[in-house]
Amino acid sequence: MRTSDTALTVRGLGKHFGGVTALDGVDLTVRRAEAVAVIGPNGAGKSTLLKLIAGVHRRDSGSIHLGERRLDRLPPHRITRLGVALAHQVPRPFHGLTVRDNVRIGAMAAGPPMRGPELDELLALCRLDTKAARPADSLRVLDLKRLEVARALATRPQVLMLDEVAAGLVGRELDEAIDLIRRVHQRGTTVILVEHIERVVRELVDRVLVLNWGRPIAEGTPAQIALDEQVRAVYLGDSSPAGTGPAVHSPDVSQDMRSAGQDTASTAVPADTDDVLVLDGVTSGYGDMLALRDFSLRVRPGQIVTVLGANGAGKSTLCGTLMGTVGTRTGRITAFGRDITRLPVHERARLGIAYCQEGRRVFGDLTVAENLQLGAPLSLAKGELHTRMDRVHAVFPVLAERAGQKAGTMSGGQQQMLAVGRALMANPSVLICDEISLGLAPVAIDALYQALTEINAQGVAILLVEQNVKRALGICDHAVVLSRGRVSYRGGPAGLLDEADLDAAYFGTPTPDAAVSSTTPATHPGSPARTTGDPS
Amino acid sequence: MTPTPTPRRWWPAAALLLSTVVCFALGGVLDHGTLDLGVTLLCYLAIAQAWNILAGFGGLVSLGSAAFVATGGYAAALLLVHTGLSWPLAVAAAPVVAMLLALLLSAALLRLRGDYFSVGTLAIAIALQALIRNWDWAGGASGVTLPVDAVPSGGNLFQLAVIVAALAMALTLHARHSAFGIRLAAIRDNEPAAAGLGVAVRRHQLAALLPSSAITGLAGAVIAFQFVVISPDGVASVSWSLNAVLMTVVGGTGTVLGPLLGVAVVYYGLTRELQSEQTLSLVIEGVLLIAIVRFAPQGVWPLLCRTARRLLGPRPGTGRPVTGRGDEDETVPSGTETLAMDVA
Ligand SMILES: Nc1ncnc2c1ncn2[C@@H]1O[C@H](COP(=O)(O)OP(=O)(O)OP(=O)(O)O)[C@@H](O)[C@H]1O
Ligand SMILES: [Mg+2]
Repeated sequence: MRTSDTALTVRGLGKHFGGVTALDGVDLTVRRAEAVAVIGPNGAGKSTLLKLIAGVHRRDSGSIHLGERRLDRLPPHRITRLGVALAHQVPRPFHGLTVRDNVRIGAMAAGPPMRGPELDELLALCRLDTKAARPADSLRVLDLKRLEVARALATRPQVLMLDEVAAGLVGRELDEAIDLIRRVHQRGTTVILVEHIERVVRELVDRVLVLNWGRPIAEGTPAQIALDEQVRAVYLGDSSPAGTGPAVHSPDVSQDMRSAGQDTASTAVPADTDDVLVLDGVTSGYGDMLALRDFSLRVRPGQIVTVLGANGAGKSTLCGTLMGTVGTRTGRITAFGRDITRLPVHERARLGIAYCQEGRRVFGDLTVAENLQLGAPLSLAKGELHTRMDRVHAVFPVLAERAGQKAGTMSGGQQQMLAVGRALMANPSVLICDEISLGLAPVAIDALYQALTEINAQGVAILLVEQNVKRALGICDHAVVLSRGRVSYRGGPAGLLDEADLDAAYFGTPTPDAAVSSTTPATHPGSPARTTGDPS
Repeated sequence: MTPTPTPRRWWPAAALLLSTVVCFALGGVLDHGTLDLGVTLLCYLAIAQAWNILAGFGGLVSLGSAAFVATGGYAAALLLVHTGLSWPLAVAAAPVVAMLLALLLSAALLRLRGDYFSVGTLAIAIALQALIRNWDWAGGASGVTLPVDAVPSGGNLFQLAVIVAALAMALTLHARHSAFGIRLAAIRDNEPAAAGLGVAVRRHQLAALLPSSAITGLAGAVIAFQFVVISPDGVASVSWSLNAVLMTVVGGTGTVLGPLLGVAVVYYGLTRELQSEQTLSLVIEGVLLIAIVRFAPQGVWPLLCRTARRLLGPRPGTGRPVTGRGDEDETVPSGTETLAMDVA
């Protein structure tokens, strides 16, 4: 029932893409100034719902009203001007424009033009103030997400829709993001959230709608939803303890932990030849900025090494340096006993190093099957190709179902699965994974980590860059924490179990009790085990 | 990739006004040969700049400049010949007719994207040429001859060309520094995202297409007066389209001063030098285009700015420490940091 109190009314909404039913009879009423979350497995239709409201796609059936005003026949720019804004899951920046101008476009949408100071304030709020003058195509995934939020906010919306904007944030960054959304909400803005991170949902909304296969399967408070049998089965997975809400994963790390390798990857280089990867005093960066400094690491055969750290700590630079996309300034990289410091990217790949990049770089115009095929060497025999494909399909069944779908039209999570699957197609000796669980539903992360364990059992060494700390620590032999390009922790996963220790290693501000650490991490010559610096 | 609109400053407009006044005054002093050369260059500049607005800022890579040169040229010429209108009125009619054509075609053209838009505009240019060739009232293949004493020449024609080129420059300045320009660039970069931020896509594209056609039509009228005898192989030749692209790309797409430089480079370097060797000229133009796209994809002007900055500016230090969170993992932009100088 539409009353003056309702902000948004969705009735019987349906949407098909070819043979795929993305939404089927969805109802949703959002009251003015309410905050609602929409959750569900990957491909459930969450993003489709938001896009239909924003007018990006046309609905096939049903209706959408903003107050008394019917939205579903209006073009997207009119809907935005009426006060509905969407921050997209897959960012869509204006590459040629500066960050500031990107946001300014949003600010021109409605009402009087935003004044300079107001714009600056908004940029600062979204942590983009230091990058305002840069062209948007120089931003990395996380900042692109911030830019999406900033642009959406700039339109001064009554109804703000946020599609997985907190994905990839940890610790204080997550706190900040939650705080930002809460402040916007408290100003009277109606908020619709799509998020896989349980904490965000629990702290920000009172009501959750759960979708599966395009249909609503449950609706209620976060606590009620966490107890719902069906939701637990299709979305949360087994590992979620009842009562803690969606997406909580706290596998008992100490049980899971391997006894091996408290100190195995210390820095005693030169390497012996069976080491998979050895980095010795590596420094690298971009232009005149060093993002990784004097970094050493050793990965032994069959090991899983986790690299943790706040966003911007140098993790992706490390991956790029290993793969050869970022040049090494000083130091030496050895793979399988061979010096690869100056080897070009494709030759490193041929040595058996596979790299699953952050931000799901799939070939959007190619089909899912073609994307997978591109991950395997060209010369591969047909039979072997199919064996590998089957193996990937076993891990991610949806990739088999959607073999003919264009990769760019897959849901965010499905694209992530495809990116991982493509890396697996190379049948590598060592797999470098950069934030691969980002945007995946808890059940899908279960499947992914299960797959990693299996791959690892076959002898593949894994270098895991993760934001999902508990997951990563639960599976690894050895952990390294980076803070501003330097190692701030090195040792077994046990030394990071304590929140305070972790926070100190991440952000370099020791909380009082973090000073007394239970473990003695291996120390790199010349740098203290835990680097402390000002908290930025 | 083309540069970003930057905030408005007063001095580019002042510089434009000053140079317009100076050039206008020169119309009374220069000798006949120089004036004729001046008219040619100014017309090229206007056409290149009109293309720049559409393609450089709006991302609509047109190959149809020739169609609007022909429309403007023929509109002015036919009005003079058949109605006996005075030349100022004929000139004024040229952009109006060009805009009408653009408006008519926009319904179909603005539905096309990317390469399809380019091909669509090229097809229109070729079709229009064929149409004129078979149109007896317009003189058919042999064209029309203007009454020499009814059209401006020498200093007057030059001054007219100065005004047209100044209009084109002013429009580019506007596209570069206004909210309109930013929105246009947003549509160029990501159309659905722009619509999602409240930008009315079709209306903005039309707002770029109409003035661009008007300027091109105006230039067409000036060219008709200069040629006196106009024919489908002259004013409707596809080479107008190609020159517009070449000159702008060489100079710097999406910059204000780039096309100015491009016109000079292409005209003096190629068109004039190789006037007698048509084939060779085409080959060299092709090679030049490839070299530009390979070595200075943003054009010569941004390259010059960057070099000047490097020579004059402070040298970047080595190994600046990482400052603040989120500062790593950034590929350093190449080239776009020179934007502030582009208008210099
Ligand atoms: N343009 C499109 N063409 C074809 N299929 C599409 C298109 N857009 C979405 N789909 C399909 O519709 C389904 C729903 O997609 P949607 O993006 O809404 O999922 P989601 O719930 O947001 O998932 P995730 O959590 O992974 O982001 C998916 O199966 C997806 O592959
Ligand atoms: Mg989604």
